[in-house]
Amino acid sequence: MTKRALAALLLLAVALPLHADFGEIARAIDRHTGVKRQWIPFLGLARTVVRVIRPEGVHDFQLATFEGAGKIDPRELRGIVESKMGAGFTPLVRAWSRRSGEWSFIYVRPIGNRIELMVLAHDDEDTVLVRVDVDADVLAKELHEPRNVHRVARR
Amino acid sequence: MRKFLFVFLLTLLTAMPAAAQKINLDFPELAERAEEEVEITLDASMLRMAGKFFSGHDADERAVRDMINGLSGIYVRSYQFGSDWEYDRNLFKRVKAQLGATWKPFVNVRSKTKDNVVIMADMRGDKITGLVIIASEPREFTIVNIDGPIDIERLSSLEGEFGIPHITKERDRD
Repeated sequence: MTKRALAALLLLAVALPLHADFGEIARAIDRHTGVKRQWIPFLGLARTVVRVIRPEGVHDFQLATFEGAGKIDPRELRGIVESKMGAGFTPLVRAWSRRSGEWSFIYVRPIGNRIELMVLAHDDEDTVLVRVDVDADVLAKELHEPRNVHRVARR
Repeated sequence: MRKFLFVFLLTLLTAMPAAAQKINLDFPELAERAEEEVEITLDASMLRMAGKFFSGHDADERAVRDMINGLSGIYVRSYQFGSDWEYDRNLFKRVKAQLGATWKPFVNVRSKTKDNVVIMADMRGDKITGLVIIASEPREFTIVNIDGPIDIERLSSLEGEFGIPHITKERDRD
């Protein structure tokens, strides 16, 4: 039993730093004036289910939502994300509408045949930070058919 | 010492044309004035990944996939403004100033009322190893840099993909 617990602890210690960047980013955004992190019930359970079942090629995900329309400077939050995200992430899309106040920054990190996406998006009063680890082949297959794109978007 | 310098200079001269030319597409003053801005950055590893989005069943898609796999990067910067000509009309010259002697004008469409399109190609012999596309309208400015060997006949198939604007199709419609 001690051996098993030790192995589990070791595994946890090795696995945790791989995704520590997400937690750090979320905490840094939470400390930012104007936004407050929202607790999402059963999110941990949903994440565990996804990690086991891997629906549609999704290996893992993390999600943090923030509320508040305080004075948010996207450049400041972008700086937070870029300084705290793990090595290997590159900016894929940065879109910012000063007219509507909406913005989104998407970063990507290829890991073998998988893609890790880090998305920070903001609209009127919500800011969302998502990390998704998805199978590139499955994603490619899903997005190849226009009907599937619609289905994926609706989900 | 002289020998060392000679070898060093020779190495530098040999290496320079081979080195990928990094073109600065980021103009902070544009981003400051723009109402909407979109930046898309696809480096070589991401392009390999994006290549998977094109199936190998269709010959055209296979050709596009092969071309994408040979590219080093696709960079798109697009800005929309609230009023006409809020940006420097001579921005093209600032981009052109960064390009070396191998870059030649490929397409140059000028219009006082419609959009202007300038395409510069990096010509190495009879091969194109890079493209800069600048599309400007009174309220919109888009610049695209495609880095890597390009089959010009298949280039139009990239229009509408990865944020690259439709150029030929819009022009055909006009």
